[in-house]
Amino acid sequence: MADPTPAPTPPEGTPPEGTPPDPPIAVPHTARPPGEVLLEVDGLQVEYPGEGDPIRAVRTFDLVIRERELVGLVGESGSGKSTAALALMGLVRPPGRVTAGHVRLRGQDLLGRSDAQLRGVRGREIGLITQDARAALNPLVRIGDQVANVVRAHARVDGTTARRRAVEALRAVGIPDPERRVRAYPHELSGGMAQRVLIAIATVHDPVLLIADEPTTGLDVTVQAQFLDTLQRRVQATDAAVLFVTHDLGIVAQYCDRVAVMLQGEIVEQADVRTIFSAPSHPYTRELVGLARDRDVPERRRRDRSMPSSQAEVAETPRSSAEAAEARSTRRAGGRLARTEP
Amino acid sequence: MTGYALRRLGVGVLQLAAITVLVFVVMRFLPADPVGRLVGFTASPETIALTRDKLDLDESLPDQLLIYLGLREGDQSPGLLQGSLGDSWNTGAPVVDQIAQYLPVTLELIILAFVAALLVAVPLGVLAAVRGSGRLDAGIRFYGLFAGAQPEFWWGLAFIFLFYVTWQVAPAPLGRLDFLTAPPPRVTGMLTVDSLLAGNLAAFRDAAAHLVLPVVTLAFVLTGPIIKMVRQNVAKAMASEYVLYARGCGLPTRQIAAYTFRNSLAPSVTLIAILFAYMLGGAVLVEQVFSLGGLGQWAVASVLSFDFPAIQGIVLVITVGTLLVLLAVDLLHARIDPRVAR
Amino acid sequence: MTPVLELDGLVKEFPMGRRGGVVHAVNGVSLAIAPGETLGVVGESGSGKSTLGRMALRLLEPTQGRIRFEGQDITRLGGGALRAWRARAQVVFQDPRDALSPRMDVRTLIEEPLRLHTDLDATARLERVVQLLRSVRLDEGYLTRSPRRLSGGEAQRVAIARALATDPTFLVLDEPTSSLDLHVRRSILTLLDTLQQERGLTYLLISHDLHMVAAHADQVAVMYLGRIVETGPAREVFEHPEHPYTQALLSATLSADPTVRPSRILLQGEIPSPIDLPPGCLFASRCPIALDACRTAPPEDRSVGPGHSAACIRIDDRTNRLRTARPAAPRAAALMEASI
Repeated sequence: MADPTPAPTPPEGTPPEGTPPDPPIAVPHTARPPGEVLLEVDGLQVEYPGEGDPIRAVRTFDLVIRERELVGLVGESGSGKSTAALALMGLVRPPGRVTAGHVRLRGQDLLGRSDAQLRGVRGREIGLITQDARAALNPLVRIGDQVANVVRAHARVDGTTARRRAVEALRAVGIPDPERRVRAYPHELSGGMAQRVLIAIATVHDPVLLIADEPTTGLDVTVQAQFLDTLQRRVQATDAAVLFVTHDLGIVAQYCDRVAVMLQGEIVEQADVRTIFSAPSHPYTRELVGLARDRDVPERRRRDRSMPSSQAEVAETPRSSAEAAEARSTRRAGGRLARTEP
Repeated sequence: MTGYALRRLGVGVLQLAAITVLVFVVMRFLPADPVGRLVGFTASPETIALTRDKLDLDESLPDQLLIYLGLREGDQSPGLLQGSLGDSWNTGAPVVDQIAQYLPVTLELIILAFVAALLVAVPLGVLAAVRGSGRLDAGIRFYGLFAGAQPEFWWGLAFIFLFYVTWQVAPAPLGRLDFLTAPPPRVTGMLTVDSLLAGNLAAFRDAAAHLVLPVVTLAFVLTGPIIKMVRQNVAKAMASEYVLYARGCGLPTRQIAAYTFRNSLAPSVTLIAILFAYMLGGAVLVEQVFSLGGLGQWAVASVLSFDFPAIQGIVLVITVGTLLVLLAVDLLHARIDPRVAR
Repeated sequence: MTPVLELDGLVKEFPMGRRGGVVHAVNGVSLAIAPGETLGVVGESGSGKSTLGRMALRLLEPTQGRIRFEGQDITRLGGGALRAWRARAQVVFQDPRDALSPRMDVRTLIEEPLRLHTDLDATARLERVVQLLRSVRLDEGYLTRSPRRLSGGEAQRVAIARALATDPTFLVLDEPTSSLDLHVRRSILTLLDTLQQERGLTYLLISHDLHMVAAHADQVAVMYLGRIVETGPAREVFEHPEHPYTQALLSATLSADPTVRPSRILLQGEIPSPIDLPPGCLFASRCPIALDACRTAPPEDRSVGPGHSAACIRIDDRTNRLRTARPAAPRAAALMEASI
């Protein structure tokens, strides 16, 4: 597993006759990402009240994000990755709360601040993109006004200027006809377009850090590609660092510099992206990487109709260790935790 | 929006026509003997026949309906389409005049009670939602349950016992003014309004004093469900994704409060309208207890004496009132929530 | 061999309420599935794939078109005949926790179809339930469990056992693994493959994931806005996609290997609304190689290989390949490259 076997070329459109196809290239990933330390997290813990003992959604969480770095936070449902990411900006879904830890943005402590003090950081220094854009946007407010409200939350500008900046922000994320679209309500947008509105809002103040919490979950792959392309362009334009929370290792492999893997509230491994994929050290990471690699080569798993599988093979097929772990945690939490992060 | 309003209005007119016909027909099938009740059970057959003829009761059912609607000439003409609700069989006075006399009394009572209930219940509901589960919340919940646990007339009697009999701070529950107070000239029929229009502060004080207990009684019962509903809707809005996201964008507290309020208003408005219609039922009992001589009291008297034109008139007025309230609410709802008017 | 299922020109329109207008969910779909085979229907949200699956099971009435099951026309089947037929065609939905009533235990859930469709007595039923649980690799310990106390994978196994209770020949699998985590997905798919071989089942596998379908289906139909744009043997379609949409769909999947940075097709433009479909090719608004002719009339199917066809007019002069572009590298890597 540690040996990076030359992966077969994934299928792609072959260019027209005459043009040689682009060969896959090996991209040099750096072991030491550039930039100063931007965000430091030590011993973050988040608890939710349970029936008896409180449920610790985040237990051991230490992470460093440098300037302009793209960090993937990977884990499966209920691993606490979304909870942890939101907690970095002092957001915890009630009734949960942060019970321990420090978060420092450029050396300034965040968690000790009040909600009012954090207001100046959120949306200005840290931009947020959440999972379901149509739920995140206020259904009763026109999208242009929602962008303009965020503009005015952190800049002393008049209404006209705020609206003009909203139009520009929407244009920058590829919303067609932004002058007219500002008058649309969220329910009038497609999922992909609504998700791009979140990019517009998150980057309107050129933040130093973007927290993207499963931003492509629920999007179709062709729409996802458009979203990621837009996000990448905006990130490069604003020079922000990104914490990308996802369960999709494809996104991590293609877009991130560094990866942290979460399992049941703990970061079990973190490393630069090439190391994670070529030499994963934690058994859970190994399993995840193995599963993700498999989908690149569907031929290997194709059924061979001439050879029916033997009974012995059938008996031991299902139930990987991670599946068993999930089953255990579901029972322990009475099915609650598994539902919090769809 | 205008199209939506016109469609809603059209539907309202159809509903009104259907209810008018339905009530008329149902009344005719009641096992009642209005003529015997009018002329006395010892009257001669000729008198009875004459009365039946005068009341058009000798006509076939479809003909009676046509006369009532004003589509055919009869003894009871003019009809509905000519703007007449007929004459009361009890008093001989036009039903329209009687409605003009009784309706303002009831309107005054329910409007004041409604405003009072909203003024108390909305802040309490919001407070309970914002504070979450605490002693305040428990207290407010208990109050809601307690107030709603008994019917209006019971509370009316209890308040009379306490405030009039025991502590003697309220006037006697016998009508709308003291016997010695001269009523102000009639303009709207609502004594508090008319006395102010006439500049008669003594009459105003007296009318207001007489209204306090009935209004408090009605409002007391109404606050329970409104608190519960406001609390639920505000709590739901506060726990929503868009509020979490708005906090993540660093929007000012004032703006988040406005988002929360507006979004919880939309579902509340519909329920408030239903409560408004429900209040009419409560008003009947309260008018009875405090001898206010309003529409409710008159309705009870009319039903007991089989005064068909009066009953039909009352049903018509209540239907129109209810339909107007529902229409207003739907329009308001569509104004708040763009997803409705589609 | 008579196909297990044949759909012929199926159309489904949903009326839009007061204002009039219709949502064109499925716009003329014909296909057939041979016994023991899996037909994968691939499409993104709004492609009408789930609506198609529901019509195939007579859970939704088609607006137009015919459905034949093992040669028999079942489009207008009703009453007792329809109920009896339901025992032979079953469904497994995306989210097992929504499909399983939380008020029943696992035993009752699996027993229910047996009560409805068989006259087995209580002992025989229990025996059959245990047998079914074993066939989905669960033991008797699960009999008294509530669905709430099951993990996603376990719940999907129970849903499969329930679908198999009446010994059907045909299953519609509507995104059977989409709500599950990666590791559970594989075990459920393996289970479904094994069950197919053991019982000679025929599957209609509905998914948004062309890679998954390519690995588990014999034939594939790619749907876009209610039409089939490309159909053929799974491997063929996967390795030689001809329709621009199929090419874009395949290219959009991200490789989970950071050392491989394949060039990709970048689409722009928005998806048309199914309420107001354009007259020509439905993919034209996002297609990088669309011509004016693409926007006037819907394209006919072109045969591009044995059993493989695609609906694109640019196949005629072999100009149907999309150009790819290499996406920008991650920033750290880009800076590194720049510094070299």
